[in-house]
Amino acid sequence: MGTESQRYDKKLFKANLKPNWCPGCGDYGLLSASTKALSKLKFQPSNVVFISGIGCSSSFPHWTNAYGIHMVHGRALPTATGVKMVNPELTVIAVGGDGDGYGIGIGHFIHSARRNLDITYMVMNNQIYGLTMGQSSPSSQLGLVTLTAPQGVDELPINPLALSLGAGASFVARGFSGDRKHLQVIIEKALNHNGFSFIDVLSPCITFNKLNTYEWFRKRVYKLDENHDQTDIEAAFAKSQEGNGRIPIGIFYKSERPSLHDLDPVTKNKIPVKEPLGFKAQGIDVQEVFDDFR
Amino acid sequence: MISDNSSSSKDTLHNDGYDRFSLRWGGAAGDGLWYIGILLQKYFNRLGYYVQGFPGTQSTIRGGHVWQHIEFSTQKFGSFDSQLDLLIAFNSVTLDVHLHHLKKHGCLIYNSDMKNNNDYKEDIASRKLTVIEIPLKILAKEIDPSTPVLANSLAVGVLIEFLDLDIGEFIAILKQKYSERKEILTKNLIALENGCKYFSENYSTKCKCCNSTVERKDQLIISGNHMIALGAVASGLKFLAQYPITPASSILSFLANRAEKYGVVVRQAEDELAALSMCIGASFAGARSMTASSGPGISLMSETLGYAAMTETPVVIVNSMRAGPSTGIPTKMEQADLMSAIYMSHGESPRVILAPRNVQECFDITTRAFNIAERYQVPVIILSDFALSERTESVTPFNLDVNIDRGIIWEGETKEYSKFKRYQLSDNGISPRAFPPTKNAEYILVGAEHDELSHSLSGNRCGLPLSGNIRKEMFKKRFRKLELIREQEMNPPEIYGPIQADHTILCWGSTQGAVMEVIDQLNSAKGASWNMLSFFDLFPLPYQKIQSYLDKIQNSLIIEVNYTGQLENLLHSHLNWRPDDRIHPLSGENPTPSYILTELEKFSEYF
Ligand SMILES: Cc1ncc(C[n+]2csc(CCOP(=O)(O)OP(=O)(O)O)c2C)c(N)n1
Ligand code: SF4
Ligand SMILES: [Mg+2]
Repeated sequence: MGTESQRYDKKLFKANLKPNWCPGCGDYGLLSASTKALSKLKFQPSNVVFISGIGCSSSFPHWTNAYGIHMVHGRALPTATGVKMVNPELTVIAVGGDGDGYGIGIGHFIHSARRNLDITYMVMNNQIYGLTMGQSSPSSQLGLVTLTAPQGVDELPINPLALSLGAGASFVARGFSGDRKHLQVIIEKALNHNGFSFIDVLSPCITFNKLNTYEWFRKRVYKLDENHDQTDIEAAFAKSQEGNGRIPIGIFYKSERPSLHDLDPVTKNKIPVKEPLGFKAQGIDVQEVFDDFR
Repeated sequence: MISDNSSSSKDTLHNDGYDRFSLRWGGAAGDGLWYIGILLQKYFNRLGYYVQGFPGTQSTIRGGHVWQHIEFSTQKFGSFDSQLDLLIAFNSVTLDVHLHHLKKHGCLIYNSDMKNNNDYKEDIASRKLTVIEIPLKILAKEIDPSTPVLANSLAVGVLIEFLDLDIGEFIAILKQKYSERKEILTKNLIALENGCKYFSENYSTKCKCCNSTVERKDQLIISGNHMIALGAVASGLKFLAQYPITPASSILSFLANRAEKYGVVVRQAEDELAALSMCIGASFAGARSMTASSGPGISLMSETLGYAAMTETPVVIVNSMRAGPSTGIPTKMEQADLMSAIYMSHGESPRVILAPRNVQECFDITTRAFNIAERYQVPVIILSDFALSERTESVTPFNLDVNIDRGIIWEGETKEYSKFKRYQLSDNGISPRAFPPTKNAEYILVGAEHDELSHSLSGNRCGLPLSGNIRKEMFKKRFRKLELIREQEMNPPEIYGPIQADHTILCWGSTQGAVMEVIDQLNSAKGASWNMLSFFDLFPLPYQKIQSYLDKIQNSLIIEVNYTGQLENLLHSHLNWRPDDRIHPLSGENPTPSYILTELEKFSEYF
């Protein structure tokens, strides 16, 4: 394929700062894959906004060269909604951890999916709370011993893929940070998709999760191939149910439907931040405004 | 029959005519009362009266009783009162709840085909009420059995005939309203006419109002919430996110209805955490943004408000206060969120709090709020309350073209700002903002303490000596802005009445109108000397400017609709000053002039 030989500045989206993640942390894989994908697709740093919540993974925007918002815990998605809906020309990418996205912020996950907000949302799923040093996460595997589940986790983990499919996400995928090339391809597709593109990224926490390690995943992950029909939601649901024995990675589901800013009465025609301010500047007749009250 | 003295005499009530008239209109929720109440207000307004209206819901008193208070006068007045000249009762709950508010010699129009639970004969006779009975339901059925709401237009016909006013203006209002729904229009016109006819065939009593004195045909009937919405659009609002809650919801529905026309992206958020977060995102991207809520939702916003202050992200938050704590009394007013607005969110962070006092001021304060928010890059809270949000007033058309100041925005290299530093330390604490996709300004907004370039000080730099210094500088920077706002933006209270007075009433926010009336009444009584200090710019309190006002006070009393005396405590903490007396109305009803007068009489030293 021609694109392979195309040259691009692989470091354009990399910040000068060094990430403060533990060496070997799964999050490096996503950082590398996504900055490369952005460069390759010729995005401009000034046109991209990374938005995160709180967690090890959520410090991600600081390690990129682009605009960014390091928001409070769990609120990356509504913040991204605000950015995208006043300037749909920006490329908005929300990132964070499993605690951030599937725990405290899970409500926003469902609503952003059903709205088909045109952003890419990537969750660095390490099945543990890293930053707070090893508590259970909503995606922790049953039986995992954590600081807060000394007898082993006794709550069924969230299934983020099934959840997002059910919530109406129009692009649903899973990647593995141990396979950056494959992950980058998924991200490129997600960035080009109009609508809510969700990628659950298996990103081992080498410090606090001693069960779901690179080795553990390598034994289990396999790539979805052309036999999987990405437009078939039932097939996608079926794949999302595959358990610990085999873990499919790749694009589960992809469908075309208008995104939120295609439908919103203002953004369907206009870029709000480029519009003049106030009644007069917008050419609105004052008498008409007042007539509503007479 | 609920009384024996159902009026049929040929007299005119109140011979010189009323120059101020108050009526209340009550029934069951879902009867379209609120809607017709607004049309009636528009009607009196068109006739040239000054009008105030206030909706009431008392969902705790038997299934969903609603009422609409309408008061009109030949002169502008401060606040509607609780004393009624006329009560229109569609159901018997209305009598239970409001009959005792009727003045002696007042009038009662009531739906005679309603079921009666109580006997009011004695009450009616002893207070010499004039009673007019109309079988509204039956008359409505005669026109169209499937449209019981026609009873409203029937009652309007009765009312207009009784008040001896011009029916033509109401016909015009209906025609305007239903210009595209001819069938509904026709039925309503018949109902209106039948109401008039029924009244004149059965009664000859008239209740005369003085002719309106001012040509006010252009006046608007508008609520506090709608004024805030207009103020926001006039200021360049581009993004509103809100989660429904009484009494803030009408901002959301009003703007949702006009989103495309006014160029405002309006989103109903999944909760208030999301609503304010969306606004932060929109503001970061360069849009003026606003959210509105009431107590429970405002509490949920607390973490993100701190984020806005820390990251110096401008945003306007409307808190239409309702009675708390917790669910409290959702459909009643209170002024109890001042302290929580000042201290909301952990840590110490600047914010600005402005409290509009009347409907017109809702517009003015909203436009100021946006400019202060962007000039100083702080969250601004507009503290309104139920009594102001949902109150309607006659307002003279005003200038919608307002001054918009977006503060310092970096669009490329200048002499002063060669390189973009989001948190550049400056003498006044204000630094430039830049919006994507501005080139060479890419930065990460962060709620962690940060340096001038917005690099987080937590993580690997935390605890290093340099970080400690930056932390101190950034703290001072944020609070330098607060001092600048105090000095440059915040106004002292407004005096009403004589500059020097024996007695001063202090108040804030929406109680201004009621207190003004009290001052007028007391001053028109022989020998009394009263004035009022009404506060509207509450935080940062401009205490140096306030001192000279307090110095002139002889005797003082503060009225606050809260339990603990929140403005009083704020004044005390800054100025070591306390009023002599205090009134804390806590029933949930907004204090009316007669309520305040009654309470004042308890302080014998004043009289
Ligand atoms: C409102 C709030 N509650 C709790 C915290 C503490 N906290 C910080 S990060 C975190 C969990 C992060 O887990 P995850 O999102 O999975 O990120 P990871 O560190 O694993 O990448 C918690 C509970 C917080 N910052 N804010
Ligand atoms: S604690 Fe875990 S998640 Fe956090 S940086 Fe280290 S390896 Fe990564
Ligand atoms: Mg995690």
